[in-house]
Amino acid sequence: MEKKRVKLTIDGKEIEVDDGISVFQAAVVAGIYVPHYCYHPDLSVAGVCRMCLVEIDKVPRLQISCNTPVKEGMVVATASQKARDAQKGSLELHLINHPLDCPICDKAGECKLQDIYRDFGLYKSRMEYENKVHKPKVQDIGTIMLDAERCILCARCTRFTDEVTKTNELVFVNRGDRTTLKTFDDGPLQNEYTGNLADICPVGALTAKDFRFQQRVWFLDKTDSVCTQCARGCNTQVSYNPKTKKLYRVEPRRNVEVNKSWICDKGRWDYHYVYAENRIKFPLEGATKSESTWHHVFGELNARSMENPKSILVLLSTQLTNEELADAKETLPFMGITQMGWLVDESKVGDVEPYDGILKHRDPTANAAGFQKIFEGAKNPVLDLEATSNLLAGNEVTEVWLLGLEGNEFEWVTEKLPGLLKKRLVVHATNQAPWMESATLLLPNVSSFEKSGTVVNALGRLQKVQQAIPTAYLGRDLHRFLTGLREGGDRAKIDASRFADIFAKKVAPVFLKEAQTWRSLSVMGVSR
Amino acid sequence: MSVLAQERKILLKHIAEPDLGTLKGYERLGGYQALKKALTMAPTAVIEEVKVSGIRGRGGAGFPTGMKWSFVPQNTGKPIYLLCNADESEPGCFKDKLLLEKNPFALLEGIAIAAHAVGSKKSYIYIRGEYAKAARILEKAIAEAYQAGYLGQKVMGSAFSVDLVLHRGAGAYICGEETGLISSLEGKKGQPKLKPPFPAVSGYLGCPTVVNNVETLSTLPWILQNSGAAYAKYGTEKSTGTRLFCLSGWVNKPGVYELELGTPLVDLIEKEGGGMKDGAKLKAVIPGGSSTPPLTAAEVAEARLDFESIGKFGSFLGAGGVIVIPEHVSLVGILETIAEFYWDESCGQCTPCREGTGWLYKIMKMIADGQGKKSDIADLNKTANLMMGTTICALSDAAAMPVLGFLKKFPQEFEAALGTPH
Amino acid sequence: MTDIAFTPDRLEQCQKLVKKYEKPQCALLPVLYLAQDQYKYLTLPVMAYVAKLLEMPTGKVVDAVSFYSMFKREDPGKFCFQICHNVTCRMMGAEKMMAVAKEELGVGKKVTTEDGRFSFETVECLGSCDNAPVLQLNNEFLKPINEEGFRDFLKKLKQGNEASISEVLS
Repeated sequence: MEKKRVKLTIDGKEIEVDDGISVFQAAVVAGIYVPHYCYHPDLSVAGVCRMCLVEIDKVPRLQISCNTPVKEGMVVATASQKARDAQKGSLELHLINHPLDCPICDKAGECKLQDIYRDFGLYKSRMEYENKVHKPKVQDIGTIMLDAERCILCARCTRFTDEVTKTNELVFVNRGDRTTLKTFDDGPLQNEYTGNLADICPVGALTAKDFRFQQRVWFLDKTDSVCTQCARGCNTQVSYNPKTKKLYRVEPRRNVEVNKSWICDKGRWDYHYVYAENRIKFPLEGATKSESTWHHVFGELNARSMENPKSILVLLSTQLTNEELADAKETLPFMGITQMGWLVDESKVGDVEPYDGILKHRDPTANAAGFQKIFEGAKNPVLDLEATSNLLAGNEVTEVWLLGLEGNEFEWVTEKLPGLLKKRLVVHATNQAPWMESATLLLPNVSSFEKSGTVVNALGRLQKVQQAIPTAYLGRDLHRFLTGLREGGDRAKIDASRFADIFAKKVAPVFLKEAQTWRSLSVMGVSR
Repeated sequence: MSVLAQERKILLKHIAEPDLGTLKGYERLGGYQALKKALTMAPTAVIEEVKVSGIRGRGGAGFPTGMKWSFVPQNTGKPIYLLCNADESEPGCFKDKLLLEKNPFALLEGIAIAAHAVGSKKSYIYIRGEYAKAARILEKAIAEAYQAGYLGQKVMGSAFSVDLVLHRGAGAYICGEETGLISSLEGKKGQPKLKPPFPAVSGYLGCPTVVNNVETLSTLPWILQNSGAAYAKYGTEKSTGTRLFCLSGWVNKPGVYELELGTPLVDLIEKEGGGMKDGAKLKAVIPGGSSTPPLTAAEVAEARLDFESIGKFGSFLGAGGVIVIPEHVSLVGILETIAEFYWDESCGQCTPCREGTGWLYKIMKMIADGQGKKSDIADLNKTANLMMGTTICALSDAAAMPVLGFLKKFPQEFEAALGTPH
Repeated sequence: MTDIAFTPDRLEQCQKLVKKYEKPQCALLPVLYLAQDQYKYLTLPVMAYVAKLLEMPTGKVVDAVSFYSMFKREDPGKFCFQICHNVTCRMMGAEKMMAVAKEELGVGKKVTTEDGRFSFETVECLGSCDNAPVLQLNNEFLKPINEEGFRDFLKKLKQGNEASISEVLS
């Protein structure tokens, strides 16, 4: 059904918007910023900060734009003298009891109090009184540090734990200016989305322990990407400091179709495997895992495949991008390797709905859906786990290459593929696990933060993973791995950007109706 | 002698009858005849009668009751709730308590009439927690009314049914605000809700809801019995009827008095209240509860007790709490007390109110403690102005208005107080 | 947690209460009164118990309890006095009454005596301004009383004369 449209004027700009939205949302459409603290696009309207007061023609009192529905012919002024004075008044009242500890506040640089205060001209405070309301000092509530004194009571966090996680651990106790944010039992937070609280807190009241005092935000570069920790594919923004060359933070990037403004704590904080002790840094060889070179590895693998390709089974992880898979689909048969299976816990694949009713999917890999599509109708059908298991039970296959393993969640492999450890193993992974001990070659993979490519989430949406940090150590993604195999492993010859060609030629045509280049593909992804 | 002749009184006519609080006594004095009549009328006719009476809500805001009822959408498929606001908590007001304790059946009859008019089958009385005795009396009265067929299924043998539940608050001024009351009844903090949507459309549990004050509802039996036109003959053109005024402070006979709207304020103090205690000189009167700006002695001499006259002096009738302040009592102390009250009772959700009430109180306390500075007066005025009309409910205004009013009408007293403890 | 439970008669009352409302949560205030009646004040385990009975998160109960002044988080003692300190009551001598309480009980604003028997708190307007200054004992109004009468009553109560209570209640 076609939505009714409404015409209105905001700050002299005439716009047409959907009926039923608020004046605030209409201002967003018009590209006009209205100051606010409590409004959040993915939470209910609280209407309590009173910062978004605007003047509406023929309405005597100022109205909060977040709770005022648009009307045909409405004329709104968001920055008239009257509106600005009221907004400034509300701001001033916000600051009365707020501690002036910006230099040691971790929110500095992305604090909305600072931003709006600056906007209003850094006026001098009238409040010279010493007797501020004192509230508890900073408390540890699990993954988050809570500083109740900095809290401006916008109720974003309490609405989040009420409406999104429905866990209700955060509450405002008492009333009036004694109102204090706390967890109801003074204990730790009890949901798996706690990191979002630090994101939505407009001030420094809730800060993520993981990021606290790690970096000043203005030193960070940000890259739009997609979380690869499960089949949801939540849209993210990854922060990296080019000086230290390290990743410091993964945050959600709003995408109403996928994750709204949220990501789970796993998606946010599991990035630490990138710098973990067990990260495979160099090609490692033999029982002693002695350091080797890619040149040597490629020579070795080429020799083995030429000798007896039928003895080799390649298992490809569903963590691999479409581009990597498309490359593998062509390169491996070209080398004579026709036995290919997918490496994923099938019992968890295929759910369209998240198991927790929010975002989490049981499948902890990013691209099972893309995998199936890429290999649809392939000349050599990809083996499922059962077929792989059967094959491993026999003697024909003596060698297994497990490619594209990322993170620490492959423990299930030896359980579901009992014959595996009896074979000669080549493992391409980011992190070493005990079961990989027996591998003859242990090859460094890159994480999803260190490569670019596309993945397809459980909803069938094609999304863009973008490299956010430089490749750590000597890791190679599968495309560069295969390039090495093809071209003898000379590092200088590898053109890493060729994945973009693979996307345009091999991937886009499979998923999209219209031609797309890597650059033209939106970071918001494309729904099938 | 009463200013309003006893036999002409509407609410307090029988208040001295010892058995008024029993069902038998209430019936003996003509009780439940109005409901009987109302049940023969169409709901729209009842609403019309109430509109004709011109009665405006007695809880403080003074919104015309008949009009309020007509906003309730019928046939939405959702139940309609009628809530009686018995959360009388404005400092200086105690009239509803008198009605609840002495004449509970008039309220129950009024509720049944109103429920019939708005199409409600379920009603609640939200009584403030501190009124424990009144709650016990009401609980008993409700049980008796059920037993006698005045509540419950097929009221008085008609097709109309209504259930009534008594719900006790637990100590929060803001629950007297109608959406705060609804939040509280829903088992939450009593925090007011955003409007739109208005309660008439989406109130208790998202259903159409009407909230009426005890005094308003208790008046309905008389209106139905005697006609809206008869009621409108009382009072003034725009402020019809009688009202209960709660007289307290420095007078000889504090108490609840029923007067026609438009009666001179002086009559309330002198004739009903027996004049100033100890022959003290009058300094100021708070006319409608602590949120209403004060009247000076000169204004008191001129003021009449109706919405318009009090409005001319920049104040309100509010919920009828008339507080008489003599010359020897410091207005600085009074205003500090008022500021402390709103600071204590602000629900805390809207920033201007939460922070503003705290600021007003802190500054007033400093002035009262003798640490006032000249800039404090300007700060009080500016803060109070920031709090006017910028929040979800009217508590912020209620806190700001007396500050603005006292400072405007008694500037010398506040300036003189700077630097001297009170 | 396990030893927190309503007595059988209170549990029955609770179930009756819940039935009066559209949703269990709406019965929160009356059920909290029941709990307070049994436990004198509301601890976290008590609130968690109520939450479970009313099928709501404990956080929402904690949130609500902290909002209402009549729900106690600490033991108010056997004799909890409340005095209104609002406009009329102050004007009519509330502070003198508070001074009497301080002298007799040694308690100031919102505190409990050392033996835990008495507590004294200032409260907002109790809606009895015609009887100012207004006092309550355990949420029941006292008759209008002067300073000396109040002092005598406190003395009697301290000596354990509980019969004197009925003489002063309104």
